[in-house]
Amino acid sequence: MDNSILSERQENIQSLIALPATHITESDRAVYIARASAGEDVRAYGHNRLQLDGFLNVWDTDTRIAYGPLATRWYIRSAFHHGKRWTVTIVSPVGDHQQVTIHLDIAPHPVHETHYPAYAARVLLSLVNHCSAFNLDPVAQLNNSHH
Amino acid sequence: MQANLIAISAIAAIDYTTMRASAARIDSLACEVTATLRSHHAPPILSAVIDHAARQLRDAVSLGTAQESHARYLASVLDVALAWVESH
Repeated sequence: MDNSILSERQENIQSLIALPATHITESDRAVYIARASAGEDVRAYGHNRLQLDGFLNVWDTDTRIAYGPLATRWYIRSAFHHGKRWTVTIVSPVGDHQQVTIHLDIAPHPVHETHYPAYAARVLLSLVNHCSAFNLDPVAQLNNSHH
Repeated sequence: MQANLIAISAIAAIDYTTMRASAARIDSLACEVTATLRSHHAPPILSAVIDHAARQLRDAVSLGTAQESHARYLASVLDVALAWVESH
């Protein structure tokens, strides 16, 4: 992803933020941010309810609960789930666009199933940001934390 | 549970130069928090990252290399844990 695309998305987000709150619903905002920030990368997950917008926020489009902002240095490029396994790829928006892909085993919850990835994404981004600052491998760090 | 989370957040938020004496308390409270999260069926990744953040902070304090970012890291993941507890 080149800088011009990122810049355009940033401008789109800024223009949205500048809109009077009364002119846009939370649902519109979620969709707009998703499109503006993630472009073709945006997808809906978790029974088409949870949206990882790939840049700023995680939105539950059913409850309209926002879980962001997530990070300023990294963003979620994609997230797929197969059963209870999620594959989340996080990408640095600058420099060499380093990508970190982490597999998450998240057991389904009888009620809050779709909220799991939102919380997971939040702590995952904290992990990656910390590891980036200290030149650590987040995957190795995470694996070590399980042992 | 919430009181413990807030307590750890408070510890993690203070200046790193004063955290040396609190390292053991960070460890014990982090263990309690993660155990409680597991009992509440929180995402395993939540406990794993809290464990990691607590260990990073504890090790850095022990080595004398702790920075404010260590505390911010732990505080940020504890905020997520607190949000989980409050919403479940």
